[in-house]
Amino acid sequence: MQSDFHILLIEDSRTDAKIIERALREGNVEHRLTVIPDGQQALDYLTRLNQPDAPEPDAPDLVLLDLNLPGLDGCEVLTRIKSDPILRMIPVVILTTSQREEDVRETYQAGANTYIPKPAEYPRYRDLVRTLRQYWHETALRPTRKPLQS
Amino acid sequence: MTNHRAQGPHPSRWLSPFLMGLAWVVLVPIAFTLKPPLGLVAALVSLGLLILALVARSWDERRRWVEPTHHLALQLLALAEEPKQPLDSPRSRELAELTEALRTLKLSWQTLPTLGIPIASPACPGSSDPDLNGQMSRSGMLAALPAEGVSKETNLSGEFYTTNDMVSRLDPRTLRWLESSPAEQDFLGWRLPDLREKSFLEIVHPDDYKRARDQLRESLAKGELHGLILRIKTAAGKLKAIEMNVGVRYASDLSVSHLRCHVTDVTNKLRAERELKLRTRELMQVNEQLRTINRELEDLKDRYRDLYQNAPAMYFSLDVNGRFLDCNDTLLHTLGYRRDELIGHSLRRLIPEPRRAAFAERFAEYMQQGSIEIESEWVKSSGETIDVWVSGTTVLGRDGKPSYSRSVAQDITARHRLEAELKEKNERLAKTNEELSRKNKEMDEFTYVVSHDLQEPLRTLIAFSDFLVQDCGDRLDANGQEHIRYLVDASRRMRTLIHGLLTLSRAGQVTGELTSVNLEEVVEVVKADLAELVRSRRAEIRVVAPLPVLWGDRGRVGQLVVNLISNALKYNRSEAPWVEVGGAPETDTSWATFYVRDNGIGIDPRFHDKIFQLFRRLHTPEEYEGTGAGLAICVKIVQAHGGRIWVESQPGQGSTFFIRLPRAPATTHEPEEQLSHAI
Repeated sequence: MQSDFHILLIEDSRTDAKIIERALREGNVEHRLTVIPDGQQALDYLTRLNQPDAPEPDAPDLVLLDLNLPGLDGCEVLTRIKSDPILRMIPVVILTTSQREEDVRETYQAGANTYIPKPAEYPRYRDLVRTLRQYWHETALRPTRKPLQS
Repeated sequence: MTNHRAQGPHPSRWLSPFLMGLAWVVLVPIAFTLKPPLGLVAALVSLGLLILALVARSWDERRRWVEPTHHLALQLLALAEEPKQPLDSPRSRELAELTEALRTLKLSWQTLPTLGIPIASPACPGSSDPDLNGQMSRSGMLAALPAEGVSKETNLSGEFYTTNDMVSRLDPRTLRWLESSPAEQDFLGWRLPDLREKSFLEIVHPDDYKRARDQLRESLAKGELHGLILRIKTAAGKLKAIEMNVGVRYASDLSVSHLRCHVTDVTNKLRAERELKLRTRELMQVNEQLRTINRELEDLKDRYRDLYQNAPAMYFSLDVNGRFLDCNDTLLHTLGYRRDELIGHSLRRLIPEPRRAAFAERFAEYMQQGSIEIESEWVKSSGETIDVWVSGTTVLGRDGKPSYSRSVAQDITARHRLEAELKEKNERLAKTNEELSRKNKEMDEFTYVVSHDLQEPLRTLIAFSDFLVQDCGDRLDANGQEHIRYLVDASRRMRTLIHGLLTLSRAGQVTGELTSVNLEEVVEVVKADLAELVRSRRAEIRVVAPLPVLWGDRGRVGQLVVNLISNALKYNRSEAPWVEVGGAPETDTSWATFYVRDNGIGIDPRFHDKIFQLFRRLHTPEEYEGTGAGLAICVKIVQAHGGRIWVESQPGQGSTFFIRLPRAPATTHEPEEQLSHAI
């Protein structure tokens, strides 16, 4: 029954972000996209949602996380998210250029839900976002969306 | 010729007894019964008669003994004066006569005691033995043998003087016994009556028969035979050896009367002789062996001496005080001393000055402990010092105390120097290796980072070129659209190149665990992965088992195989393309070599090196697609494992790529995991 598919994209590349945006739009995927280019900012954003007086009414349904971030790198962000008892409930999909096994292993160890290498061609992006929505929004069940209070 | 022959007892023999009888029986009583003047006369007469008897006696003696002896002497003298005569001349007959006479004389002398006739006392009554008749030798000497025809039963003690001698008489024609001494009868085991029925030759051993017969016949002509040795068989069946001396006896008419034989039992003697011969032969053999052994011993000694003296190590022995007892040539040559400079002198002499003082104590310690192994320095005669490694053991004497020390020393100066050099080289090598591997790592990381970072702008290029076409395509003219197309193509190519670079750098990092990799399994997985390609090309991927089990990074090995097999299928224009993977011979057991062979277009030998270089291709992308990274990646993977890759190929004759990688140790039995998505 959740029609609003809120995606948090933590990605420093504007062009990559634009591509995702376009893919979502052209893919006719109902969505709401928040883009935060910095890891620390993203964490702050997520943490704020935990407070009772959160300005944003809802937390993301899905986090798309790039590893190659300035400052706090993606894996660190992932670790912090996954160590918070509330935040860890949000599925985190690593979406990054690296295909290095170390990165894959490390992130899964840190609790990543999925690791997806960034598609090379734009059309594949369209497929990807559709798949993501189908899987995470339509197929999988998620804990109910309500103010993130334990 | 003499006339001392008589057919019977000589009248003189009776004269003496007669006169003596007369004297005693008649006259002596008259002498005592008659009155003095008559008595005196009678006494005188009897005395006279006695004297006459003595004379007669002496005359008899003379006739019997003295005259023949005199005659003999004369003959001998005559013979001595005469020149040599032919054999059957009267003189040789004389000689035979003489010999016989002498023998007879001897016999006569020896007979006398048994006959009881004292030679020296002439007045013994009953002196003549009635048996003493019979044979005379040709010279008239009394043979002292009983006459022929005398009783055959009697024990002939007359002739056969001692019971231990074996003597006999044999018939000259039949060789039958005529007489035999008791000793001989005992020896042979037959009594005389039986012997008289036997011929001597009957008891002779068949092998000696002919010789016996011939020799005995000869003796008849020669007159005698000495030292004939025969084997005979006694009545008891025992085989005995005898030595016979034979003498021919003649009758008074010069014919042969009988053979006189003297026999000695030489069985034991012969046996003893035979034994002796045997023993002597054995002794000689033993002697010969001893000589051979001695020779071999000498040889051995020489060889050992040579071994000791020229051993490739310095052998020496020291006494309990550390003085040289002996040393080998090698030691002398190495150190440059003469033997007399060292033997008898202390080992101290070789030790460099500063350490000499401690020697005595150290040596005593060593003698206590019984063995030592140290590195030391010795001084050559030139003054130069060399490093030596010395090993010694003490040898205990009978009293259980150390009696001397046996040692060996090696000049290790050269070895030390080499060791030092080697160590230095190894260190340098290790350092170089470290440098190299560090550089490699840096390179790889650099490559990775670079290509990784290049991807993002590339992606933007590609995607936004696409967007441009989509959004503004209608506002672009043909030129504009062409520009964009070239842009997009270039970007795509760049992306492929970067992708290749990325893969390459990843290939060089063997980051996965090293395990045993079953090549057959890997190929199976690759076959599955390339199933589509295989089907579309109607190709065949076959395996020639067994394939080696490798030791390395499973993912990388898989990548290697995929690249090679893909290439094989790609550069192939045959109607029925095939790729064969098999094992190749390898001499070093820690490595395994396999090959990937195809019936593709082949490679000109000029380019066998170029094809392995990054991005170097032999064809345009229009001919065959690809970036030229595949083989470079293979090279990187192989190098990362320490192996080697090379190709054998000719244009139009397919290609065979050989790959050499570490072989899995034989003892590892790891459960074969499924190859996951490692590729």
